[in-house]
Amino acid sequence: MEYYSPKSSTELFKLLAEMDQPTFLAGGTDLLVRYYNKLDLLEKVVDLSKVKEFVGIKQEGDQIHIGALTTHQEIEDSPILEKVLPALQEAAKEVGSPQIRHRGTIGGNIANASPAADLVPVLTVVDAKVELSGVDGKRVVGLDDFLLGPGQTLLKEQEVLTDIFFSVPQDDEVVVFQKLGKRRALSISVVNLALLLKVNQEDSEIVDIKIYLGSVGPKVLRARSVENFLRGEKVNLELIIESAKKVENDISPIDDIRSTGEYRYEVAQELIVRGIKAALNRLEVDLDGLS
Amino acid sequence: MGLVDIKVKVNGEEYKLQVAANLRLVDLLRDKLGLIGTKEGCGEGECGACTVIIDGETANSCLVLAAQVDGSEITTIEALGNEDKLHPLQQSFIDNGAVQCGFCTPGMILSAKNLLDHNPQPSEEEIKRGLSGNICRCTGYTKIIKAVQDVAQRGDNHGN
Repeated sequence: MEYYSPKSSTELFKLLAEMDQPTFLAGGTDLLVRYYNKLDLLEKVVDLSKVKEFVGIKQEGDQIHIGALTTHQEIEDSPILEKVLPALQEAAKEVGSPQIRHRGTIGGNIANASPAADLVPVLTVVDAKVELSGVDGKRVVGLDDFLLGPGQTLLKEQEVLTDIFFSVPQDDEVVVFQKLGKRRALSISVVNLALLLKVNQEDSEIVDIKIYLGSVGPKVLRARSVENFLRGEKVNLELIIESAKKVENDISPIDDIRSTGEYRYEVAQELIVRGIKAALNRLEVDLDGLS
Repeated sequence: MGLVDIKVKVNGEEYKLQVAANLRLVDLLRDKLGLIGTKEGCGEGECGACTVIIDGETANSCLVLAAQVDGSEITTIEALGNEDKLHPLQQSFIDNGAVQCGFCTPGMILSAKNLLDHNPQPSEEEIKRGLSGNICRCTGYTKIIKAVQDVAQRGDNHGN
């Protein structure tokens, strides 16, 4: 194995211009697990973790930028995110363990393209975009479009994910995150979900709803059937439960080591109900008081 | 085989080393520096037995390349105390019977230290969360949590 540790983006892209088939290392919490006992199979490892330009969370106008090397711990501790998108912190808190969160990065969580990545549903629900930087310059794509399937993204061989950004949700929109795993710590999601809800406070009509689910298909999937069923309706518990059943049109879960496809259908429905209830709670809409 | 020059501070001591690019931090500590208090359990970041503190934050040393810690400061269990003067957490683990087979103990104590360094008065829930990356195969969690609570209550998470 050859190891390269560029200290700046200039150094990084100069290096990449002369390199075939690099393997990128950020937090290492996925890469070193995947290559446990076979690190020798890695030929050229480019360690991105010393490129400090790609670290940090900042607000520019109504845009929030998160550098790709920002860790889950830094997301959890961010006062900016606490204010504008606490659901992303909830998701970050559910990743792995303290040791994993101290090193694992948002860029790694996204670029690994695991269908179970916890940060991804929250980011797609707020229409996040990703900046990809390469030898020939930068380009910006929507996160949903960036992800193609398990381990598959739009990244080219000499390109890295450098920035994730999104608009601050409106004051009357609430975003929530839900996850079901096998146990609390160190468990990869059986199903995860993020949901954005906007309700007319006066007549409890659902003005807008957006739902993304993870671990129920080859990539994060949008539950459009559920959204369409709910949009424009006046919210009540029966309607919510009915709407959740529509999710079977939107997802294609498989049987794997963590769960079965059948169980995932059940969990997806339950998380939709829980998610809407949690969002209504945050909006201070009392579900019991509605007919 | 690629070799990488690194400068690293381990338990206060500076080392200038040449390491293989594919050497993991846990192997550097155990095999090259003889710091065998750091244990390797699963090798995949699940069990936490190999936990060390890198620049003030815990990490699984099985998931870090030795080359990556160039310029860093590392604390292993060996820095916490010695037989004559144990760290308060070590003493509390003994007093509370929180050590059974002992394999998870170094990692468990480093996670506890890191938690108390950042949050000196954690709730029981916060202790559980702080230790959630460390598995005890003897399942002695109740006593481990009690041992950490005792140190937090006395407010003496320092030692040497």
